[in-house]
Amino acid sequence: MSMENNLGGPQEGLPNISEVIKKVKDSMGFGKGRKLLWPVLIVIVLAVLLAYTSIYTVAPGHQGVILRFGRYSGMVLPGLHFKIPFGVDTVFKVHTEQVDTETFGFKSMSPGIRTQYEKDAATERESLMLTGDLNVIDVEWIIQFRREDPRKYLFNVQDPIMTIRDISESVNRRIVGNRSFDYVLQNREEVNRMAQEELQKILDEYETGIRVVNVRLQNVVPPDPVKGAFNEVNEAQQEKERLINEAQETYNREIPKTKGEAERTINGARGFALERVNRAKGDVARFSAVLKEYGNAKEVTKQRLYLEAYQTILPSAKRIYIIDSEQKGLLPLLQLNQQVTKGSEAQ
Amino acid sequence: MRRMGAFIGIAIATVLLLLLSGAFYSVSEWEQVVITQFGKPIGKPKTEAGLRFKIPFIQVVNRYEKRIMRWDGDPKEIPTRDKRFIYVDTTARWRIVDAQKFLEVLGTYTQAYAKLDDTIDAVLRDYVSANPLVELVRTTNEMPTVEEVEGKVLSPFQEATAPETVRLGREKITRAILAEASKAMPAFGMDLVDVRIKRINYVEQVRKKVYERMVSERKRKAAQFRSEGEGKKAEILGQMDKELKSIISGAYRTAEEIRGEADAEATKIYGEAYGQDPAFYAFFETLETYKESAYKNAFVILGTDSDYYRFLKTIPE
Repeated sequence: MSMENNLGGPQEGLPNISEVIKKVKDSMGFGKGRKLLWPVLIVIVLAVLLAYTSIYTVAPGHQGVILRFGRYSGMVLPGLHFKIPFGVDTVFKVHTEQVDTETFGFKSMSPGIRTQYEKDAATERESLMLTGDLNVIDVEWIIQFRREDPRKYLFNVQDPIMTIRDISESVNRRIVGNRSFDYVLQNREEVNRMAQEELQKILDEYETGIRVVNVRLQNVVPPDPVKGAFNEVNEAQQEKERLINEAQETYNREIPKTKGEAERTINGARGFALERVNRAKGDVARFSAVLKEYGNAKEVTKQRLYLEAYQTILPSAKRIYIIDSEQKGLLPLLQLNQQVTKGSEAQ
Repeated sequence: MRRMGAFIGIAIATVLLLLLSGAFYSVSEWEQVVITQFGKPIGKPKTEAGLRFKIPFIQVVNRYEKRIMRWDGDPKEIPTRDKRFIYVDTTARWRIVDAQKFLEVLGTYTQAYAKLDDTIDAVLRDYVSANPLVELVRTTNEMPTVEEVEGKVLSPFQEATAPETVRLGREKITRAILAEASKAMPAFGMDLVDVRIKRINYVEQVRKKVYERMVSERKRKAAQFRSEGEGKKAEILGQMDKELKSIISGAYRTAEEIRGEADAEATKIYGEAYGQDPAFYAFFETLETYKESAYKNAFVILGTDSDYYRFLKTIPE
């Protein structure tokens, strides 16, 4: 956990001191004649020690809180700083810019990679909650926060991270508990927003110095044993839509087709009408023309028309019998139903 | 001799240093300190941070937290008033407000946590078993639910569990638990900052039953969707049949009307023209129909007295 790094106690780096002392002892035994050497060495060692214990750095994004004999005496920004050594000044560094994430209902297997996570009994207890209509829902969420005020963060609450976790669980359950199952399923955004507001409010009341950057519901699903039935509802809904779509499709196919056919029927009638009227007009025009001529020479025209008609009719007839008007008892001779091939009749 | 003197000097310096280090102590910003002398508290608890003085060796520094601390209860199985078995997990924040009393009555954090366990659990048990489950889950009566939008949204639970009314609600109950549990705290030099219900859920066996109910409700909803789909389909197809019939019959009607009008107009045209000389029309039109009638393969029997053949018999004068 990054916590320990950030908070890691008094900054007293004393590396290699035992080695330095050993070296000093070695040189002592070496040259008894050179009496000046070892006071010099002691001074050097003391100087190094002083430097080690009084110089410290605050990394970018961090803030240092200085306690002098336990009492707050100031805050330092990133950079190189001095302090009074030997336990008089202690510096606590807090990473104020870093955004940390806490997960609920699942564990991030590899930090930063959200897709890999596992679920066990403990995280399940964390994520199962009751909705307002007394159903069980499985809600996983994350919280992102910053340690905005290092002084408050260090001085006011013993275990701020666990406080965040406890309060967030309580707040989320309260919000989910006041909404229906389906409402929670469909309105994550609202729950996110309310959860963040409420969590921040309570953390401010405790004066934790923590700024909640984000509360985000991840998976909001029905509990495992109910999932199948939920999918069934989805499938049924799909099927419903499919049936409706199919019917709609048939409708959309049939209606225009029939409309086209209807149009054709009507156009056919229009064509008929046009033809009928045109024919009538044509017939009448012809008749009128003939009538005009007829008016000029009635008998002759009548005769001509009569003869023309015969001219048209007779060539197409199979047989023509011309019988004298005085002839009687003709029918027995003719045998009208007789085969055509026989005899001397005129063609 | 000089060497001896140096040794004595060093010894005195060491003892002095020891005395000094025993005489001074620092109090951190998150600490409060009670000084005891042979187990008996001396003076007021030191809550201000900084460097302080005491009598070395005789007086002892007892350090306690000044910050808000966490208490996390074990999940408790408690039946609610409506006989639902649930487990409840609570969390609390507390702090030491009177370090001297804390030291005298409890002395250690372990003792303090045991006291918190006892107090909060007892109060919690009282309040949970005195209230129906819905009071512990919901805060208000206004519960946002999903509007049933036709063909879109599913909310099968609305009909199944009619929203019961909430009299107190979760928030008020937790406030009451906090108030009740806080009463015992001053005697221990402690203060309860907050008590919250962290988790509530059905116990394992009940949860199974709830799941079964949820499953059956969902299945019912699925069946409803399916029949709704069938119904809608029949409705659309029925509508289609109706429209088809209307289109076809409408077209027939229009077509017949057009034909009728055309016939009427033709009749009118013919009538006007032929009315000029009906006798001639009869003659003319009769001849026309003769021409158009089929005479192929016909036997035509005509008398010599017919107008056409009369010249076969006699030459006109």
